[in-house]
Amino acid sequence: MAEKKEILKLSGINKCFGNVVVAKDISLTVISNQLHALIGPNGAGKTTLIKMISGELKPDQGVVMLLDRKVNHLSEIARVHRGCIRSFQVSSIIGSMTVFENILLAVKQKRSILKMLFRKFQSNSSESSFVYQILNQLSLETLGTKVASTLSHGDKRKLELAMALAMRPKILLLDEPFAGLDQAESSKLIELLKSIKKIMPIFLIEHDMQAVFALADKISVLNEGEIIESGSVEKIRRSKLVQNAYLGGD
Amino acid sequence: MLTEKKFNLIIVLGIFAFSLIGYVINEPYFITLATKIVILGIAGCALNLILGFGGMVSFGHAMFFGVGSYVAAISAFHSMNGETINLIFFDFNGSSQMLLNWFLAVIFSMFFALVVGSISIRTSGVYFIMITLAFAQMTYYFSVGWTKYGGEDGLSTYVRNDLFSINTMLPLNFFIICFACLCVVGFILNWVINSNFGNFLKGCKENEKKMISLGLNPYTLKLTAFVISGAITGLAGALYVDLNRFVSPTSLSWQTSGELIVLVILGGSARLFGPLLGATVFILLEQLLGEVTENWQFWLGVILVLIVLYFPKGVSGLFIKD
Repeated sequence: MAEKKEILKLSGINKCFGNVVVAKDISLTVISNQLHALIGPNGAGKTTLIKMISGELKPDQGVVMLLDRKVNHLSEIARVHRGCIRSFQVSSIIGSMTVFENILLAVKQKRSILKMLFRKFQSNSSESSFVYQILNQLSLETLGTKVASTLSHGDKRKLELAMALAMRPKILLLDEPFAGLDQAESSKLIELLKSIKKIMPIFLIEHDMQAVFALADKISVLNEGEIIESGSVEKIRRSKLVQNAYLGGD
Repeated sequence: MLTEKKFNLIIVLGIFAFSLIGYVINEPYFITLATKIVILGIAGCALNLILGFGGMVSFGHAMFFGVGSYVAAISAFHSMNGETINLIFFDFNGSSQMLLNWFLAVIFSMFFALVVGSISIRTSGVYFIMITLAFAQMTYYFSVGWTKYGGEDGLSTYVRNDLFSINTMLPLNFFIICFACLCVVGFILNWVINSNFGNFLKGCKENEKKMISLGLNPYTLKLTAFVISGAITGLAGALYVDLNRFVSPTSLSWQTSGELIVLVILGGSARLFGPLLGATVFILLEQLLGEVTENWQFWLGVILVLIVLYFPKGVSGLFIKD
């Protein structure tokens, strides 16, 4: 069995906005080929945590480790270059470009300004086949020439995921990818994420409990900025603490 | 409806034909109008790079136009009167060579764009508009008080600069020089817009946060576009000095910045030669309405309001299919 490697490690993360504590001594680890889900009621601090991991926000205290290296001092852009790729709560794509062009943007992102200026925005054969491979993986192959703004909500979410995958992430941070999807689209995305988690670790923030229970290898529960429980799906299902805080148990 | 390539070709050939008609019927004023269209078109297309493709509404682009104008005019002025300019590292006697004066105009405009852009691009929206306006007004008032070079009255250069052995005083010759500059600028801008850089710039305009999540630095992308745009606007300014053989603080004023924005909106932003059509419509309206009424700007305003309301893609949107 392959050795499990720590890809992302948070230790003692604290964050306050004025008097409001949004993260209180948060520690968690995401290991290779694992989908680690973070659940919690609205306002628990989930998106703030993903922002601190991606570098959009800096924690007041604590350490963010990515592939065994401390990245607290690194900017959001530098963390992207280290392979920490995120998706957003609201679909974040370039609406005026085609699906293919959106993915090509993600493929071509690691270029200097000079190289960007002197190269035409077109794919060579290896880039084309890589983009089509991703389009196939996400069942978007028939939509390559479609303008992104005209896609359905579900396809926009898939496109955002495709862009993230095109950047060959070391870890994927997904912020509520199931938001607004219907039952059929959710089922397809669950199958897709099941196949993706075999090749890369995923840190998932999600409200859709059916999706979380179907996908997660480990779940952490956040309530008022604090992790109140962490463990396997079964452990979380049985936890009285979680039921009281989140699932509305007696 | 036309493809954008065909539209570009038609507008460029149309301006050339207009100038040739002026030559054939011996009406040099037609050629001068065509030259003015070309020069303002160059400046408009340059502004369009950041406004139409980068989403940055610069209300201070007259600064680069004026800096280009003043640099070329000062160089020509010193070449004429033989007075040396004492620069820090060397003395410069000025030049009557167009190529050198264009080069100097582009370099100085680039420098100004780099300094102004590096500060302005930290802001966005209305703050960006105001900060670029503030910088432009600073240079405007500096030029008003710069009595050595004419202050408020401006600076005359009397003759056009030289280019090889071409007689640049002939209107058609000078038009062809400006037209050649337009073709080169069109080629450069077309290249930039269709490069990886241009597409990331379009991405910044639409979704800056997404560009960051792709690992790109929007600040660097926007600043690069701003500097390219400033440099090309400076070239247009240098050509404008040769056209009029005169420069005044008006070239740095907020009205000139506003006119450049009007060219972009009138012609259609995010189209390579939209502002060139904008310049054509603007100059022709100025001439035609000016013959009918003294208050031609009022009617231009009415037309602009109608275009913004009913043709958000500008006049070029009527001809180009998406």
